[in-house]
Amino acid sequence: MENTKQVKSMPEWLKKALGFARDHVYDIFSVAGLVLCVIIFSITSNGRLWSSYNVGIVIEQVTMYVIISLGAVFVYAMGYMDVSLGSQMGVYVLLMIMIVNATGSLLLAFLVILAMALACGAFNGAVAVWLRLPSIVTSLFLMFIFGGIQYLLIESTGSNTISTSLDMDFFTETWVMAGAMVLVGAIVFYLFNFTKLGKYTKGIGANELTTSQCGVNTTKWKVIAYMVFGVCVAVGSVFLLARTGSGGRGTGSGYAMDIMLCLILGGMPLSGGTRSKVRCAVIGSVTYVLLSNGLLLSGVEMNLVNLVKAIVFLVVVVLSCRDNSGYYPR
Amino acid sequence: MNKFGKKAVALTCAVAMSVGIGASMTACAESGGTIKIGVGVYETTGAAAIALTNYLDALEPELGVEFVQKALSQTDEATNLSAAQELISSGCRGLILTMDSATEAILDECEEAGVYVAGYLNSYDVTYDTVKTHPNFLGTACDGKNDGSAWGASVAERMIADGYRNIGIVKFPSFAFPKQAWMDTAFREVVAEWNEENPDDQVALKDTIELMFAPLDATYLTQNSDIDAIFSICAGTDFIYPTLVANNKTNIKLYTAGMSVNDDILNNFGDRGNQCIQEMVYCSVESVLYPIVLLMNKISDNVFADQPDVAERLDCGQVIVQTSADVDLIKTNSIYYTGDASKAMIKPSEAKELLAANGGTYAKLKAAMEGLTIEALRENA
Repeated sequence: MENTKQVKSMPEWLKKALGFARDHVYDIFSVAGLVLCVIIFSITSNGRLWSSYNVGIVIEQVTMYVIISLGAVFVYAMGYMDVSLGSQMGVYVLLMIMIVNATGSLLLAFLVILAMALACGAFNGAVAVWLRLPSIVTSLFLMFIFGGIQYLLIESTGSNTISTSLDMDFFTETWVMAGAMVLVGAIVFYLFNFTKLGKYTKGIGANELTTSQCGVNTTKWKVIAYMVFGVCVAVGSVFLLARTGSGGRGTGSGYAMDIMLCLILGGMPLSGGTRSKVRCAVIGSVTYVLLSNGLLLSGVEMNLVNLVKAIVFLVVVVLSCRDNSGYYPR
Repeated sequence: MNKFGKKAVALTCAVAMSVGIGASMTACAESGGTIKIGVGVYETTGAAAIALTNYLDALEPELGVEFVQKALSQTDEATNLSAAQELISSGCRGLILTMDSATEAILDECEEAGVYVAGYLNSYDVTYDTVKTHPNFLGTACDGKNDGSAWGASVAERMIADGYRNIGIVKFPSFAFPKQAWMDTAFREVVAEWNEENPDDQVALKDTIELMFAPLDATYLTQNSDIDAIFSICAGTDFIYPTLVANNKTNIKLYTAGMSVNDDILNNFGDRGNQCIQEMVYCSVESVLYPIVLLMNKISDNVFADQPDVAERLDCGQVIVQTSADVDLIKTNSIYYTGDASKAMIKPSEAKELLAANGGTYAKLKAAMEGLTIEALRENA
């Protein structure tokens, strides 16, 4: 009774604030994680975190993760994932190098890998439904196929690494990378929040059967969601190639896991659904890159970096991956 | 666990993380007036990594350097570029890299930042011809010899002398390690010469097979049931020996590149245990002094009078282990096995004599690197 009286006596604005905090507690945790990283590393790096050089390299490193994570939001919102991402990127980078070196046309190279990425998206989305397989199985299949192609491509060159002869410095200009992130972010934000695509992908993640029984062709929207992801993978591959100017037998390895980590660090629910947010991709990618960057700038020893990362990851998962009734994953 | 309990776990983890960061920062606090050098390593665990870390730690006070280690990827170029960028951002004025990956992009980055690069355990097989004249590339210490043909030939002579007449050869793919083919060729040439001179005592060589960075498949042993020895140009203790053990084929002798300090390997070496492994070879950790000295000279504007115009890839001495006595020597007197920097063939206190500022010459540095052999280890004992 006393508590009820206290609540009733609270000012209206405080009640609203508390209500907002209660409804968005997990989003707040993910933002707070990023803010905490920035504050801690700003202090411990003796200001190096904010040097113009470091800001530039953080933007350079984060661009590819943000762009691909933004595309992955559609896939994760459905409660799915794509483990073939790394192998796909490896092949796309090698193909772009080969096409660019042979023809001098980056546009042609991009169109080729875009077509492949769209085909992979369609495959992941449709075949999983037709064969009634979990989509992770079809992406596993693609992972092995692309892993084999990557090996054959690099073996055909007779070298461990190949480089592009094209000057791609334009793509590593800070304003170009920042602009690309803003552009892709704006498109994905619009698609995810104001179109049927976002609505249905979240619906599939929340309850596929119900969504289907509401008259939604879930197969069609799954395919479209995967294809949008494919576009982002193709664009991300261009920025990946622009950074190093080279590719090899292991290019892209581990990126599927990196993107999953980015999204989880950003507060994306692995089960998908209505709590999926575009901002998870941005917040998570920046946090992920800052963790590696900030720990080194703070002088943390190499062997402790993974331990600290693991602890941060554990904290984020414990704090953010629950629903209001306390179940994992939310 | 209730909600409060979970939050308590999270809070404990957060506190542990903060303490960890704080402790590490205290341990790694940058001291004024020292040169900071970044070391990008592809191997972060194991005997070689421990030996390198301990040696670098011991060198820091002697040379007035702070070393910052960062893990490199053996496969992903972007990871390695990011590592180099982060080392530069942390204030490193020189980088020692063990991978030839994204090298040109890293050198472009270094040129803009005024940072120099030198290699360690790295022959820069892919980019050497391009980067050897780059103003920010100073040279590299190879993992042993740049051209390992001499070792390949010496193993062939030893295997013939030991009486093996049916020999298999195993290596990594040529696209990844092109120079392993040179060792294979040198080995075959010695055998061909022997066969020509000894028609009644022929040595049969099997076709060379390539391992895709995975252990030897047991079917190889079934298809080649007559082999009595294997010449492994790749790391045989990791990729071949386990297969021999698993298939009860330790009667096949193994002569291999690479080294292991695993007791299971060392206890079955030479005339001990199952006597399967007969030769190992490795490049000792002291060869990291080559890039360190080049970087320190350059950063402090002291150049050797006899410094080559073009950045070199330097051959370093190889510790070739052939007998059980050699194993005992390594167990007791090498930094590689003990991790004890005081057992280094070039003591940390002697390292500064190699610097140009202290009267060192390039010829002296080169001789010191070439002298990192089993003979030097014996003298050091």
